[in-house]
Amino acid sequence: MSLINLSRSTPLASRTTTKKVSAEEFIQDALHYASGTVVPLAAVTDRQVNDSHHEPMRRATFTLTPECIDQLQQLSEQSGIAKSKLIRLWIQRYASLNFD
Amino acid sequence: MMILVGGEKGGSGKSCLAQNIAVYLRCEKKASVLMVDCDPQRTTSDWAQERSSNDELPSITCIQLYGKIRNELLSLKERYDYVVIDCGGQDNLALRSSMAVADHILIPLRPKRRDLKTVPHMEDILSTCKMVNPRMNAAFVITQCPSLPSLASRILEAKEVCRSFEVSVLNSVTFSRNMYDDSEESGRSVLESEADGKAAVEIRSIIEELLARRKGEQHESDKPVSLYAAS
Repeated sequence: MSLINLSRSTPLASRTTTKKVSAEEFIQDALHYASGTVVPLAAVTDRQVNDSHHEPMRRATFTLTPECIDQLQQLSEQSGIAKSKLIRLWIQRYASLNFD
Repeated sequence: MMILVGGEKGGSGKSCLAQNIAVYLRCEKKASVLMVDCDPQRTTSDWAQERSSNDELPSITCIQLYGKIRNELLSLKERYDYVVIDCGGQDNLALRSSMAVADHILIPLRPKRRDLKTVPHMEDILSTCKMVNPRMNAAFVITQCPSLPSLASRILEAKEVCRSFEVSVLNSVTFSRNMYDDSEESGRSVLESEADGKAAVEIRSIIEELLARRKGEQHESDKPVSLYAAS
């Protein structure tokens, strides 16, 4: 049997490199892997975010509490993902949940 | 200079490669070499002990280190020309600590499905590791290749799988040879058991190719390779 089907089938997504990972974090992440909780450290990569649409995006205004705004800002800084993109990601995830 | 031989897959020949590389550097490059055995199986430690009991062989010091060993490695690096690290077949603290400071990272894989299935995770680790060790020179090497020409496609396919993850893979390979096992038993390397043998040629080829890779060069050259040149 050919080994070729083990090749990566989709192109490598560009990684979000804005999040700095320290040596200590990198080393410590081995424990997460060993315990089965695989959290991509550098990445939160863009892999799972379906941003492949080609239509221009539109501005939208929503009402958030100051606490939510602060949390969104912190999450954006921690993950290196833009706030708008985080929201798009959450919407996508939420929409994919099965409530039945 | 720090050379890590590691990876997630057991049985791919990490200890064998590490030992032979250490002997190459010690005996053929006349360098001071320290081996660090991070594998609790102590394969390399036992080999070094066997070696030290043979007065004919230049001894190579081997120490065991486990866990978060980054600072220890950085300290040792200052005292030897080469530190060769043998990390056991799992993603653990020692492997990551070594990756964070190694100049060269060699990841052996057999041309088998079970080995190649570890490539995605290794690629993930390497990508993250570049943030903390941007100068590292990491490459896969295909080991224990079948000698039958009819199975040559497996070697090429294994390399292709590695390349598909945008991780370098060496042109040089090792073939499945009893010489590797036989020489290890007596604390020797294939370079000492049969200096001009095919296994010795393979080891020299691997380490010289690894060290010669220029900084920043991340992909295998497009030069055609004669798979059976040394078989």
